[in-house]
Amino acid sequence: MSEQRFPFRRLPDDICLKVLKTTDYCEMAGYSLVSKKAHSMVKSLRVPITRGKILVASSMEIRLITNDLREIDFNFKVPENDGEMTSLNDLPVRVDVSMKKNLTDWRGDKHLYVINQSFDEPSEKDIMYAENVLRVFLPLVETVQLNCVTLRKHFFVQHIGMANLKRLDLKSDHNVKFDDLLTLNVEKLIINKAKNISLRDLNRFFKLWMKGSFPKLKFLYVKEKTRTIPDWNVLLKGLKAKEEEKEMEELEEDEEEEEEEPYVDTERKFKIKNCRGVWAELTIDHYLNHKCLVSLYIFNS
Amino acid sequence: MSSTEQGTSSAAPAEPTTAPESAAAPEVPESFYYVHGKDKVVHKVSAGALQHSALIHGMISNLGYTEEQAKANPFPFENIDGDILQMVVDWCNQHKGKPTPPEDTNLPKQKEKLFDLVLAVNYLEIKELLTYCCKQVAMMVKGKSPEEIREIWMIPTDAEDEAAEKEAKKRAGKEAAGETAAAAGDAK
Repeated sequence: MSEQRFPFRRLPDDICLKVLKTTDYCEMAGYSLVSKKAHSMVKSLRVPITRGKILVASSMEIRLITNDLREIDFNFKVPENDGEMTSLNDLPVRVDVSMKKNLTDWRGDKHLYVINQSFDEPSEKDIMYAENVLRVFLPLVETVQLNCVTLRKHFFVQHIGMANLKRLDLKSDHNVKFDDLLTLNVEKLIINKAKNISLRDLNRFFKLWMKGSFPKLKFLYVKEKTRTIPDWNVLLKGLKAKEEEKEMEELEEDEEEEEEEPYVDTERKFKIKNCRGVWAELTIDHYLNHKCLVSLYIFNS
Repeated sequence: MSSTEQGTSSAAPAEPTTAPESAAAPEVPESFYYVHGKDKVVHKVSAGALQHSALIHGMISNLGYTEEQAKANPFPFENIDGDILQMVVDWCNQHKGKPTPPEDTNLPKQKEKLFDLVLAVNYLEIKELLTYCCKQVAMMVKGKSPEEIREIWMIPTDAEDEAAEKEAKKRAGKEAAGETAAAAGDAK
C-alpha cells in the first residue's frame, strides 16, 4: 500500500478535477466521503444523477443511478453497540461503496423512494431511520414514494403535509390516517393497497374538494381490497355527480374480440364540479379479484 | 534515447550522437530543438515531436530559430527534473505525428515519479499525455474503499485540514505583521 501513495491534494485543483473526472462514479463517490474538501470538489463536478433509492434495512443503503445507467451503492454501517441515530451525520461509521452496471432504482428528477423491504413489523430504529431520511430529503424532492414505510403519529402531518410535493405515492396507507391526507398539499396523490380508507372517507374528501379545498390537487388514485361489491352510493352521496355515457361502438368491438371470456365492464365515470367551476372526472371500478379503485382526474381550470 | 544527447551544459551543447531522423525524408529536412531540465542535460527533440507540447510549440513558432540558433539556445525548464524531462521527450518522440491511443502503455508506470510527471506535463501543456497521466492516477484508486482512497491519495482528514488552515492563517498574520513593521522601519 505504501508504494502506491500519491500526494493527490498537492496537485493543482484543475488537475485534481481532471483526475476525478477520469475515475469511475464509484471511486468519485468514495472520494467524496473522505473529507469535506473532497466532497465539495466532487460536488463541483456536477455529475448528473438520474435516479436514487434509499433502502432502510439492517443497514442503511443509498443507491444512485447515473446518466449512463450505472448504479452506485452506498452501504452505511452503523455501530452495533450504539445504534441510536439522531441525524444523518451519525450514520457513516463505515461506508461501503460499490457499483453495479445493471439498472434498478432513487433521486434524480427529484424523486425520493423510501422502501421497507422487511416483511417483519418495523422496529423503532427502522421508523427513526426512515423519518430521518425523509426529514433530510423532503425539502429537496418533488416526488415521494413510500413503500410500506411506517411513520410515527405526528410525522406525516408535520413533515409530509408541510412538503410542497408534486406527487406522493403511498404503496400502502400503513399507519397513515385519512385525516392526515387532508393536510396534504400535493398535485398527485396515489394510494395503493389502501386499508384504512373507506368509501365514506373518500366521499368526505370529494365534498371538501367541491367546497374549494385542495386547490393544488390534479389527480387522486386510491386502490383497495374489498371482499364485497362496494356500495357506490356511499361514495357518490351528495356529490351531484353526472354519469358519463359509454361509447357503444367501442363496447361492441371489445365484445367481438373477446368472445371466449366475456368482459364485464364495471367501470363507471362521473363528472363533478367544485365551487370554482372546475370539472373533474371521477372513475370508479370494481375488479372480480376483489379490488376496487377510485380515481379523480381534475381538468385544467 | 536515440534523439537525446547527454550534453554537459546549456551554453555549449555537444553534437548529437545519432543521425537525424529526417534523413529518411529528403524533401523537407526536419528541424530540431534542444531542451534541458534541472540537471542541465540537453535533449535534442524534433519539431514534430514538440508539436505535442502547446507551450514549446508556441515558443518555437514565435521565435523562428535556425538550427544553429536552436542549438545555441536550448529551452531551459529549470522546474523539471532531468529524468522526468527525459520521460516526456521519449514519449513525444514515440508519438511523433501519430494520434495518441486511448490506452497508452508506453509510459513507464513509476508511481513515485508520477506526481512530478503530472506537474511537468501540465506545465508543458501536453494534453494527451496529461490525460493519460490522469488516468494513471485514477487507476490507483480503482475499486478501493473511501478509507483506502484516503491512504493512497494521502488525503488529510477534516481535522487535519482545519489545523492546516489555522496554521496558514497564523503564518499569514505573522507575515503581514512583519511586513508592516518593516514598512514602518523604512519610513523612519
